[in-house]
Amino acid sequence: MTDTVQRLLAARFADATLDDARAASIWRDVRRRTVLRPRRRAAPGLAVAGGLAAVTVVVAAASVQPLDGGGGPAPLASILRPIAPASASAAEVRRRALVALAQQSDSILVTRERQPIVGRPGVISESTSWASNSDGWASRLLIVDGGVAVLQTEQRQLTGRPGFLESIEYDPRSNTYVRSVSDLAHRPRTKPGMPPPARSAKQKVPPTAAESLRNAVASCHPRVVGHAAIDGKDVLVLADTSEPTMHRVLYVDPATYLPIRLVERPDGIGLVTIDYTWLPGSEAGQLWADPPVGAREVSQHDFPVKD
Amino acid sequence: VTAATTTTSSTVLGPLDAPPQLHDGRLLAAAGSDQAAFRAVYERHVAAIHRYIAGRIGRDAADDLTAEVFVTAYQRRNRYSRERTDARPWLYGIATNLMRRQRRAEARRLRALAAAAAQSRPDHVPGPDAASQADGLEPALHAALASLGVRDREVLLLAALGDLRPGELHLALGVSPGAARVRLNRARSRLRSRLDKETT
Repeated sequence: MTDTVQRLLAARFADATLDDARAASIWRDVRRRTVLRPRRRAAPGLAVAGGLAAVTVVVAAASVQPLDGGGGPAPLASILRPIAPASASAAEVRRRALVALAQQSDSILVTRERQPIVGRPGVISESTSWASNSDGWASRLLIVDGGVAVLQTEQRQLTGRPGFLESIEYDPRSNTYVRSVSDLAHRPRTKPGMPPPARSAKQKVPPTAAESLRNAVASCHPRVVGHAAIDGKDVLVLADTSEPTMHRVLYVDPATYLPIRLVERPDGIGLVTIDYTWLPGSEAGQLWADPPVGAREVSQHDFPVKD
Repeated sequence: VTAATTTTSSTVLGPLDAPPQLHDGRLLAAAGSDQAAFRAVYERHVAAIHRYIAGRIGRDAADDLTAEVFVTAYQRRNRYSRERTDARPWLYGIATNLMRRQRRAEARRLRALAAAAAQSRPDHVPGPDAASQADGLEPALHAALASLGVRDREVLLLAALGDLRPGELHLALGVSPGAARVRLNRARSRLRSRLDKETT
């Protein structure tokens, strides 16, 4: 039976081979979305630059406190904590959360993710991102390893020049930054010796933060629902235990049904805690922070944080 | 879930720097500080992952979802055991999870394929050879796959398209080896019964 399925599907999709140009295009997309994720290198104890410190204070005030401090491996019970029964079913709460997320077309989502660094016991890696729910390109990301800011990146479309993306990477340790402008409709380069691509490749607008979160919630299959308290505030709790290697607990605001925290306990790593703070669109100024006064602009070649 | 970020140093698949003797576990362990290590994993598996996704949801959506698979893999690289030599089952598992969001689109596509296959050979009379019989089965097979539950379809297509060895299927499904075997056997018998229904 499987042979028949395999033969038929192989024949049907025989033309689905991936040529070099498409592989290169996909890789560029992957790289664009992964290259600025948290580094796992030891960070020297340099002070956080003034501008970033101010930003961090704003976020800390707006975020809820972690449940477990993001420490070592923990059983599901410690993620769930005691919960009281809820009147609605897990499916209904999830449905309402999806509706609420679909309505986020103007807000700003602040995402604060904390997880232990593998190989460095007790050290937490923290990344905070600010993302627009009206413009998939506009975002800012701050990475803090072990309490020390190690990188900030930000990007936005140039005012008056749609289709051009301005981005800044700022390294607080060297107090240097690199600024660049890219054309979103440029022709991709291919391997030496390979023919050029047949047409220019215009990059698709990435999904907004709310859309990404909605997709994540849509792929969850919560089976447990209840009430709990975070910092004295009542929240709805959804637990997804359908995957044996990964337990997820989603905390939802009972008034707005917007997610405010996601806690995951993957195998082999401590708790990963992600807090969500929803800001009105009028807070769009937080999406961009100019490098601190005194920071030095350098070329990409001289920028100390390499890919 | 974090915001998308970008870079403007737009090198596309230049020379591969990662030593070829490193297996996937080591490469993923190094990927946080060495982009070339992650690129090596990407180059090693992208064709297989893309083919699996294209086989399930079509070429049009395969590029985007393939990128999503590798972005997710990068974000979860610390959860991958550095002792595991082959990341392919793990990547298939990520792809399978991501495609759950597309299960309705996949079912619609399979029904469309069944209709197209039936239309293209309305008077097909299967010959005695296996290939010819398989050709005659195509419309029914697509229809039967579309009618299966997503978990049955997942395990069948992972086995068929993923080209995984018997001991690897459970790694992609995130279950025990025994549970994977049970799921595959159940899915096969359900497919068989749906096929019987479609062809009679």
